[in-house]
Amino acid sequence: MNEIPVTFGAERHLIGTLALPEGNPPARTAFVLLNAGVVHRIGPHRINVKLARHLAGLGFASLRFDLSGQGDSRVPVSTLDFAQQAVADIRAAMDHLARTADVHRFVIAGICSGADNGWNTAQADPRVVGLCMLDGYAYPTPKTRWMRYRLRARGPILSAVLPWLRRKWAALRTPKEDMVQAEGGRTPPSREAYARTMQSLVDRGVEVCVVYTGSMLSVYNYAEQYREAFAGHGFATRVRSEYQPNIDHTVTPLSAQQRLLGLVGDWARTFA
Amino acid sequence: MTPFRFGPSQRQLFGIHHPASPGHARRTAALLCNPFGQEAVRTHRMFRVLADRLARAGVHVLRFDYHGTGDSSGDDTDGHLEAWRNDVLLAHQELHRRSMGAAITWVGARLGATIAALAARQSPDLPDHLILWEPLADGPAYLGAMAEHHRHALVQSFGVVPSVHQHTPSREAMGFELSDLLLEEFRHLTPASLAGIQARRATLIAPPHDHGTAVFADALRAQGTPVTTVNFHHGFDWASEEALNTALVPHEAVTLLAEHIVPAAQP
Repeated sequence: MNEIPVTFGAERHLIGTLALPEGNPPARTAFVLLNAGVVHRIGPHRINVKLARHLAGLGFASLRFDLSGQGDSRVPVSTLDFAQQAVADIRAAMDHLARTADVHRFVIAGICSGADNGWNTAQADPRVVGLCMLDGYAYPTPKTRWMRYRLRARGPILSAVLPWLRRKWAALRTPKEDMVQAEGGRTPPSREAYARTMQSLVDRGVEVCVVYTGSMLSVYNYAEQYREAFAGHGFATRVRSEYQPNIDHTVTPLSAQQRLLGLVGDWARTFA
Repeated sequence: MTPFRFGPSQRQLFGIHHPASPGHARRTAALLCNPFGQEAVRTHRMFRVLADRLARAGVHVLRFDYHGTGDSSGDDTDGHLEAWRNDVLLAHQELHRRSMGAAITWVGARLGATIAALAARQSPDLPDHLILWEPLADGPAYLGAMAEHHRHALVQSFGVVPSVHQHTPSREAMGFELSDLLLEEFRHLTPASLAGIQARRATLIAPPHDHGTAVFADALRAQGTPVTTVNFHHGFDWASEEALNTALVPHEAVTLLAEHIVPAAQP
């Protein structure tokens, strides 16, 4: 495997690492690996590096990079807001992969805000044929709420109660209009808007894998939740949904990292 | 800012060179030495901001990842202290070449400070100035602290930690795997093992009464190294997953480091 530091983008303001498989030309689909929160392109606990190398072993090229103003990438002279700029940056990453690796179909993989940025880009660019979202937007069902209390009751009582108390206390102290920011600036689309968009992506032929971790317990907590939340929608059975309670949001335990690499690698074979 | 790889083909290191601003170029350069694991992730942005500021003030800066860390080649388990000490020496050569022979200050934080000091013991004439920020002098204590941080991180992340993760394997520290060799090196990292470290001059930055820093000061002075100590207390957690309630880039830390790398150079 070859790893090549690259600088790209209209203002050459983006910095990333291109990973190419050894020997044969790469598969016809390449992966774009995104920042998670404020962590730079290596990903939490270096998971993007590990994933890039795993994918290279399966024959896939990948580009992990920092969005504008994050990690090592500079802020461009631009009038775009953060979400629009992220889409522009990811498209620039695809352009770069197309030029350097002669690959023209892309899978975008991201955690949390990275998942949101992948979601936005998939809608904007038809070259996106795959989307892997870890802890992306989640839509609880009535069963989710019941499961939440049942699962918490199994843990130590303090662990069960403290996160709830913390959130309630924060909510009391935070004006309602600031709640979106308090949640990390994520503004989930409505369930209806999400369903419409996902259906259009799936109809376009985009393969989607959604993974929800044990850190999402309050909003996603059982294996069938995705299908139940979107029962009646055609995409619900075509999207691969995974509930992984032993993986956490930042993929901390090594066993969780191995599980995630195996899961994404297995799904990636769809594109071989 | 130029990202590049350097070193032997079988163990290429990732580096980023921040060239000195042409209008202000000095005969000074700075080599930034990362801490370990989650602490390196946490300080990435701080070092980036520091490097930008220094470059604007006319200082060539090299940031780099040790073998088996960050964007460098190698798996987690390929990294260990002796190899990382040699990586510092290799990075010094690279910066020396890119800065056309400028006097180089080594700046290390936490384990990066320890590694820089060990590299200075190996080649005391290379750094013009050694700046150590909260260097670690007690490997077993550091292993214990990392294990505690690991447990805390899981509680923070999961809320209710699954039973499979209740026991933390000794080879695991906040998402990074430790090799047997690295574990052994940590066990042997004691105040006594630091005897003989030396440099042309050294600045130690730490909160008042920091035991590890006192050990380094004593060891350096025993070899005749002029040592300046700077008391600096901060509120951020080196190992937190995110900045949480503390600044991702603590302004006062960046300013302090910049002032000691290039006195009176505040662009």
